[in-house]
Amino acid sequence: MKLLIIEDEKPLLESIVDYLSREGFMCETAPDFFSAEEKIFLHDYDCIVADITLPGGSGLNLIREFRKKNSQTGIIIISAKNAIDDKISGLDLGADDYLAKPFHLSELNARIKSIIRRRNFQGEKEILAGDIKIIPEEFRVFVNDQLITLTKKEYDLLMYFISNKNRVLTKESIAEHLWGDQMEAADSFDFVYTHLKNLRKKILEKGGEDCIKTIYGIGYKFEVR
Amino acid sequence: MKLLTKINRRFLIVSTILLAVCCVLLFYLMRAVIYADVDENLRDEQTQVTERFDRSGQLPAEQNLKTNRVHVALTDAKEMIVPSMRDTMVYDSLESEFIPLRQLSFILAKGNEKYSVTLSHSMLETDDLVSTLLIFTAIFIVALFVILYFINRNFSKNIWLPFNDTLEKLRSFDLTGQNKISFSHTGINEFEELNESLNKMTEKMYSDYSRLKEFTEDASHEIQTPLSIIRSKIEMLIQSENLNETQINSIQKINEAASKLSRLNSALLTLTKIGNQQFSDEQEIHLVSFIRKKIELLEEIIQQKKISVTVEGDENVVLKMSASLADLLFDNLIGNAIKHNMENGSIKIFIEPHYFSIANTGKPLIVSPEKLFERFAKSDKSSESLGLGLAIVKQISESCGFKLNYSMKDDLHTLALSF
Repeated sequence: MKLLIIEDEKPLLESIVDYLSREGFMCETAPDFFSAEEKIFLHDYDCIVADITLPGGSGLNLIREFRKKNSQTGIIIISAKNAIDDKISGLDLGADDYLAKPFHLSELNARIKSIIRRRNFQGEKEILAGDIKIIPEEFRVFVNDQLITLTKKEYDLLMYFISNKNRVLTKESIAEHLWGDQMEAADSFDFVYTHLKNLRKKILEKGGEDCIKTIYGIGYKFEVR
Repeated sequence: MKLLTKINRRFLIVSTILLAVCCVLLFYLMRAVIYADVDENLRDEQTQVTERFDRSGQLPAEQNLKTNRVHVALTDAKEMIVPSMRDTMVYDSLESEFIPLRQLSFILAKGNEKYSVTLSHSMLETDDLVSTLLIFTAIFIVALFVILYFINRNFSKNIWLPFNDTLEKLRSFDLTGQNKISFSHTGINEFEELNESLNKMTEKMYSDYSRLKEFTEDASHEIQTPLSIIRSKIEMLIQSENLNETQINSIQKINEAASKLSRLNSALLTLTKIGNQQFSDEQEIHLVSFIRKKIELLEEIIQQKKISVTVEGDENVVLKMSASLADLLFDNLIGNAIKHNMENGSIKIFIEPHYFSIANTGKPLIVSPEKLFERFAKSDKSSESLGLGLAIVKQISESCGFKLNYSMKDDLHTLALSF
């Protein structure tokens, strides 16, 4: 899987590349408008992560130009502006998703995987992680080939873990993933634990391995060999 | 007091005094003129009488007319050598009234015989004349003042029209509004100067305001970027295998602080944006189903806290507002009701046309109700909560023209919106 990360903040770019490379992505980078323009017209990518405010021009123009000739590649906008207008016009121009800065790398990773999954029709129909098998199109989860019934939040939680397996996920990032904008509204950190407990129980009931490890003080980790 | 009333009141006071003074002056002036005339006549007559008497020794005939009287009497006194003029009153039995007279007395001497001659001139008519004249004059002056007053008022009204226009424009002045105001030309120097200064001032305000807006957004943008870097680096750091407990602890504290800072920053940015009216995605929102959907998303949290939620009201209530603002507004209202609720508590949502209320059980307020909607008004300083939720609710209500109200009814904290 090949990604292009367009971001002008070097330290952030490094982190993104670092995180995503460990997920097995091949990451190319472009720190400004012109190098990004050059790269997207010369090479093919599975997904492009683009900042909107770039030296040399707007990421939105880049997306507009790019979408005219290519409809296969997934596009995620990352922007510090958090402006609704940017979000709307970005999605109108054909971006698949929008992520406001500051974001969790685990969230970005999960979104990239989800976009690639959605766009890749002939690709994997099921996701395997240890004893767990997920058929994303049908929202069905099997443990040791036995179907388990999960609530929407539990399913989202599991998908988030599997997208970021063997990574430590903070409580904040999980809460933000599950509740998004409503996270601030309800002290949701406590509820992460409840969902996790239920999810773990359902997996264990079917004889699955307990993959969810608690990293004391920080969060959780889904460990699979 | 209106300027016009003030001017008119002064005008009226001054003109009344002026009128009174004028009338008194006029009265004395006319009287003086008439007296001078009468006195001259009397002196002329005296001269004639004296000449005739000197020439022919003929005394003037007694006269007792209404206007002119001549009275001659023999006198032995050596007195009254100097002719004297005086005023007196005589009772007129015919008219049965006192008649004011102007009298000139002098002495005619022939040998040893001395005659005192008194020439009298009735002032009755002239006094009548004076008062009639005075009354007419007063009427004319009063009429003049009245006319002047109305003309003045009318003129003033017309002349102040551009001023009122300016005032009206200032009253509707809204810095955040879409329409800039500009003041029209008046042709009156003073107003022109006023309008010019106002134009300059508002221009400056607009430009300062837009610069401030830009600054706030830019600052927020600039803060988000380093925050992104901090958070991404923390995330990379916690992936490290060989961290000891102290390090993990520190990282966790940094992480908490950084994420709180970023939530704070984005909440403040949201507040600024609402203030700047940067939301234009207006939609018709079916409130009951919209609220039900929101509750559904928070289902697990609500169940966890064992809160019972009821949504009652008119299914047809439609609210027209920006979809993103509506999300923000109701997320905050519902979140607030959940967050400050207690175990086994309840939330009651009631919707009717132009009205929404959400009531929840919970601990009594620590902050005063007036301060409830202020920024950073937190019941618990150390809590995770930012204390901006209700400030955002208030800001949205204000920008959409809703009325927001807090009350405590039947042990329920109730927030009501009228739109």
